[in-house]
Amino acid sequence: MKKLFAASMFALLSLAFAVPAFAADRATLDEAKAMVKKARLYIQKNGREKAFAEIDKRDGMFVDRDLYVYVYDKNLKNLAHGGNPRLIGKDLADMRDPDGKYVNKGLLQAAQNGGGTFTFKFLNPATNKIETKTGYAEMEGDIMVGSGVYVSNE
Amino acid sequence: MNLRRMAIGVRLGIAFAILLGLLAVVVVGGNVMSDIAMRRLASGQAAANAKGALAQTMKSALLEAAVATRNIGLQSEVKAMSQEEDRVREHRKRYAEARDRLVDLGLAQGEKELLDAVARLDKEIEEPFAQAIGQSLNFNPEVAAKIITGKIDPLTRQSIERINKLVEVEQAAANRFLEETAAEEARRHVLSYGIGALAVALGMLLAWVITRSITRPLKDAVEIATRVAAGDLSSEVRPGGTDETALLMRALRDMNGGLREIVTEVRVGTERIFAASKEISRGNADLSSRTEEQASSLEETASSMEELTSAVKQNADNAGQANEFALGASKVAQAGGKAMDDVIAMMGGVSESSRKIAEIIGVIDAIAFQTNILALNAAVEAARAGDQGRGFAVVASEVRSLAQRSAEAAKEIKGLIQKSAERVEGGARLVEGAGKTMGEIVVAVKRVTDIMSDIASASQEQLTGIQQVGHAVTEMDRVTQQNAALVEQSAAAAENMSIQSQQLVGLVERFKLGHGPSPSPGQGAAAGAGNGEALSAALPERPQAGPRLAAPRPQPAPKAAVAIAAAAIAGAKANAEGEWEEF
Repeated sequence: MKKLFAASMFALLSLAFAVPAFAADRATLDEAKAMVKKARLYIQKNGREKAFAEIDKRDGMFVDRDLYVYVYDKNLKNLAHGGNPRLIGKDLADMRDPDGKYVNKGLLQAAQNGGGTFTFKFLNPATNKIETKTGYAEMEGDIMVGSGVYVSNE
Repeated sequence: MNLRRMAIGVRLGIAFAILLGLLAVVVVGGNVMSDIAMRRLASGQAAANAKGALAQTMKSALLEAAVATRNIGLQSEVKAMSQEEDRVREHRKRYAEARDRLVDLGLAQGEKELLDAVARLDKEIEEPFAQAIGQSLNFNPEVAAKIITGKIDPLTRQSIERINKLVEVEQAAANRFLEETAAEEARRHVLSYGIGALAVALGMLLAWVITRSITRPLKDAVEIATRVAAGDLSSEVRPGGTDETALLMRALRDMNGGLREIVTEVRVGTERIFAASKEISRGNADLSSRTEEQASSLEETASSMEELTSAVKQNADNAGQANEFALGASKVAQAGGKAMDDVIAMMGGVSESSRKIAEIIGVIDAIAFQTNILALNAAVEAARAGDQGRGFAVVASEVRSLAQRSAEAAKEIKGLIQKSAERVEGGARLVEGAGKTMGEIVVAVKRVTDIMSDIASASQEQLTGIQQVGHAVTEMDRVTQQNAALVEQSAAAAENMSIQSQQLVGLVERFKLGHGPSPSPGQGAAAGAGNGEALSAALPERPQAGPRLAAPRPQPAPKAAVAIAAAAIAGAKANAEGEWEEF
């Protein structure tokens, strides 16, 4: 954790001083899938409210390096977001990445197909940069639970 | 001289063709060049303007995209963000399209460098731009703002700087096109003026050469014509070339020659006319004097005839009187003849009566004889009868004696009667002779009367004849007067003719024939000139010497000679008639 904090601090510093950041330790897609399953399980066990609060926490159990978990209802209103708390509670059905891809619609489709990946560009909270992300999402009842891995563009 | 072989029309045609060709070159060439320059200017300016416009589009697109990029971060709703992002995309697309079109238009080196720099900046801006957009879209405007202000704005400023430079370059290019066109226009003007000046110079040269090639022969022709007009026919014409002026010169030469011949002939002719008119004048003078003589003798004749007429008239009167007397004598003789006839008739009656008496006597005698025979017969019978017849015999003897006595008486009467008859016959014969003589007298008187009558009528006829002769003489006189007038007119006309022929000589004298071929020898002209001069000298005296027969009248002016001669004839006629009336 200390390491992560140090890293994030360093990244913030580096951004602030416009110094190229190191590549942080990056999670794998399998870890992301595991994280999704973990989140689903947690939701099932602890109920949505608690689970969402846990997911929302930047230092919660669902944040690991650049991994975090996000939850949307079927109308793609954000229910929980471990990467960017400003997104929580917003209707993000039409959210697009800088390339114009509909991020959440793509993810929802993948999730509704029995769980799948969708690649787009998104803010990496670890680096605080827009990076290419391969998201993985599954349906948990009528809500979508997803996570993803970032690939550095540099 | 080469030009003189060409017709004037062809000459002018070629000159005009050259000048019109030059004009066409100037006009068409100038217009075409101007057109090309204008088109180049238009296309160049259009291209430069298009590039400038595209650069401006790039600039505005870039700025609007930047504004929209900023705006994304200001939004709190995804929808509004999306709209701003769409705008950003739209402007980026507009920017890229404008850039591509700019590249497609073809770029000069400077433009290409600028655009390459812009492209490099675009590439450089791409990443931070995506970051900024992404940050904004991720509701991370602080970071986006940092990126925008820290990275994108400086790059954008650089881009805009380059684009501004590009705009300037395009404006400069447009201006350059304008300047180049102006320079080219100036060059074209110089060329136009040059060709124009060449055309003017060539035109002047051609005009001068052609005008000279026309006016010089024309001047020669005018000179010849002027000389001909002045009467100088001695010009030697040498036509050169085959053009119209040469034809004119040839025609002038022919005219000159023809006039020379005509003048020569006219000169000879006028000399002859002059001589002839002089002869006519002379003849007229003779004729005039003779006519005058004739007129005076006719006048004498006329007076003689008048005397003769009065004599004949007296004669005729006398003859008439004699005739009347003869007629009276004839009547007397006729009366005498008639009386003689009566006497003769009476004598004839006497003679007839005598014859009748003689016849009666013869009857008586015959009766007496027969009575005697009867008495004899009775006596015989009485004898036979015897005594009874004695008484009868006595009576018969008595009767016989009576018969014998009757016969004797008858015989006597017969003798007497015969004598008377003879006398009557002699008287009758005498009367007959007298009657015959009277008849002859009557006849003679009648003949005398006839003759006298003849004489009277002959005298009358003679008178008439003499009167007619008088008339005829008068007529002759009149005619002679007319003749005199005519002779006078003829003299005037001859005089006029003489003057006119002299004038003609003078006129023809004006023509100088020179040494050219002439049908008459030079002496004729010289003689003509001499005559002309003599006549001119004699001219003023002429009018006084002219009319001799009639009262002097104003000599007609030479110019109106013919008209006045005609008037003179009319006047002379009137004059003659007047004289006739006086006569």
